[in-house]
Amino acid sequence: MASRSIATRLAFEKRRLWHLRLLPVVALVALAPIAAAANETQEIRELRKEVGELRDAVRELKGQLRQLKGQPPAPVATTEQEKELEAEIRAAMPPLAPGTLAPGVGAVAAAPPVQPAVGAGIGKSSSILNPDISFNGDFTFLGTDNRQLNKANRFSFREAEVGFQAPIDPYARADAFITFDEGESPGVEEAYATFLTLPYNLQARIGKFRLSFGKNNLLHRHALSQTDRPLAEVANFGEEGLSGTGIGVSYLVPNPWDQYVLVTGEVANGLGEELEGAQGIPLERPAPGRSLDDFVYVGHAQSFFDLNANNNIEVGGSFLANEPRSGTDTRVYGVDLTYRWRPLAQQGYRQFLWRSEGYFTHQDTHAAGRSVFDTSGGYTYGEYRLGQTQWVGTRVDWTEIPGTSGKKEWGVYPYFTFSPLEFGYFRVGYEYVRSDRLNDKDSHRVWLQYNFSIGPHAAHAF
Amino acid sequence: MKKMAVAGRRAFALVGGVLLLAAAELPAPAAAKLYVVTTTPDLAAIAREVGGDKVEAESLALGTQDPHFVDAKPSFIVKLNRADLYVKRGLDLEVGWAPVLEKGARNPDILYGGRRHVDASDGIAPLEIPTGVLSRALGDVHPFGNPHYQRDPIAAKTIAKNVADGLIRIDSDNRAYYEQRRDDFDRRIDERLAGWLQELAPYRGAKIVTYHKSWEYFTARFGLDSIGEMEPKPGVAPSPAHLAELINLMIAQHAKLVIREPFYPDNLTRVVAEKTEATVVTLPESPGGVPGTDDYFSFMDYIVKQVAHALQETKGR
Ligand SMILES: [Zn+2]
Repeated sequence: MASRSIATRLAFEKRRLWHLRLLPVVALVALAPIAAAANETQEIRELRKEVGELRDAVRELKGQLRQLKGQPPAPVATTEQEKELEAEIRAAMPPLAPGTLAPGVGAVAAAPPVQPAVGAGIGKSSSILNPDISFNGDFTFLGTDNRQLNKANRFSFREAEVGFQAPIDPYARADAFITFDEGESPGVEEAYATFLTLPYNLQARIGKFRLSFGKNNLLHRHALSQTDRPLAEVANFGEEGLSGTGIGVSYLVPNPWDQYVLVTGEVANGLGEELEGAQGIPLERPAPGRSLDDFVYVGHAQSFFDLNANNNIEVGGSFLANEPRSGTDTRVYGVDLTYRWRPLAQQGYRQFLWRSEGYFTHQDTHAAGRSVFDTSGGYTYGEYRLGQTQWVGTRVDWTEIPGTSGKKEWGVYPYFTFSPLEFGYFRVGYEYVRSDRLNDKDSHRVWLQYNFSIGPHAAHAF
Repeated sequence: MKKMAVAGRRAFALVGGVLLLAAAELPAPAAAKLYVVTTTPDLAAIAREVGGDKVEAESLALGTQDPHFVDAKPSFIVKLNRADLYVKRGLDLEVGWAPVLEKGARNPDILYGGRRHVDASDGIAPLEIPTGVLSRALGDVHPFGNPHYQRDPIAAKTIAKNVADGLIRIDSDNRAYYEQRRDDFDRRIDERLAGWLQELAPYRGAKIVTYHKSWEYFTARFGLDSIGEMEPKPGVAPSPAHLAELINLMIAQHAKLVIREPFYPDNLTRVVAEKTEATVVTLPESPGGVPGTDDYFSFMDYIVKQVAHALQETKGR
């Protein structure tokens, strides 16, 4: 095909030369082969280029096909020679750090990935280059005798959440969740990038995210075991828990016992940050300056123990500090403990979870008179899975209200959850709460909830 | 209350101190064997065949466990952090739990596309890739096709190839060793497969019922006919209406064998079997699922023997 088209085009070129150039025949005869040759090389060059482009396209398509089939790119076997070369290149690169790392860790730290990873679990995705898109809808009914409670005795489409998740590049992945709360303007619940390929067992996050205080606070509302958050969490961090815009770094601590130890440090703008307007716009009056104390600092340490194949325990400690130049100093210490029982050699799906968290809060309002408040609170709940689709549980709450002297809240909250498949669940619960925050201190609350998720199969946090 | 805050602070300082000590005391790496971490035991069993004494293979899920629903325990993150090679079944079998572990592991090479990542399903032609509109109305379907290919011995050879490729990728010095062991595994599979086929040959076309749609590769290889499942749709718990339908179907088609994996409830399979005069056999999803099935050959042996035995028993009924 190609050669024929060259011949045809050469013939055409020759004709063109004959007709267009009114030169002596001899000159033409002498010149034609040269011109033709020049044209020929030009043609061949173009064809070569075309073939090269096609080859590249085929290669790219093959790559895409491989990607679609979920195969990693054909890996290059590391020969001795390549290893040496790699060592040479590594030696030429700026040193990463002293080599005090655990077994297996060294490999990660010393050798930057030959073929950087795309991201966790995004191997076979039902979409091509689209992020995984998910939607969660949370529908509730709160029945109560207490008229001081908001949205009582009516249906509420409490929250709609849209999630987008995908790798950003070979080094990071993005997770973003936009929430539409009933009666509120849409907001970003979380939107952050996680850097997965850092050396030294590190991982970093940038963006807006739920801060790593305790265990329950990290969960989105639809992933909670009960319809509302524990009273102690609400008293400390508000109805939706604690999140912030900032950066965080976590470190999987290598240790001789191969024990899971994770420490996390995070810095965010502040507690209850609500900022208006664009960053950097001119202001009429200068804003109060910010110091390092204006930020909120969160630290979290977590470990996990397999007692045996069927029983395990997770423990954590959290710390939060925020001492803004104007306003209240806050320090919160937290402890969390989770016990799980799940017999692995069993028929059916029985399992049990028992989780408790304690909060110890220190506040200094810098006001005249009584200004320092030390309060504490906590919750505990047990949840038993009866079978493939049913759970029963009870939560017990007790907390002092931070920033008050002696104001308390406590409650008991039995509930039942039915989930035909993991993408939707019905929950019914009865909650008794006695709160010093309300004039009518006692309230009986009946919660009805239906929650559903659509979109790709999500992986479950532990 | 002040006391409690102080106590909290002390506890926190203590935890921090212990962590710092832990971080300071690091052992010298003495990794003589390659540490292969797999999601399911079938892959670990095959990795041992291929890797021989050069590897230490460990599965995250136990053979007695439903591989769709494994807790993403933090202790697994530590294993993946140390893994020299990570092998998964693929086809989204582990989608509900493995991504959390992979993301937490801080071992970039084991992630998809990395050189320590092995998708054992590469080169397997998946059965039952959903066609038409795919939605959860069909249950918790596996969108890339059926991932329960481990009970097809021919697929086991593909797993062995993928594992060998992975081992050679990270340990090319021992290429010949892995290739020889892989070829040896293939040869033994061919030998044993002939026997297994022979053992089940008398029951060609026999109709069976399974709990989950996890026997399609096995029935295709050994010429059995799976006519239905206990689950009305993948992942959905059996409903009375569906079971009534299934019982009628089994009676009409003379299906006399119900297969369930050890992790599925047995009360309903018993009811179905009683009503249809069928036999229930409990067969492992993966090696180690029942005692004495720890390597791939004893695992397949057990399954073939049990199926043959049950079909022989029910022949007259
Ligand atoms: Zn399945």
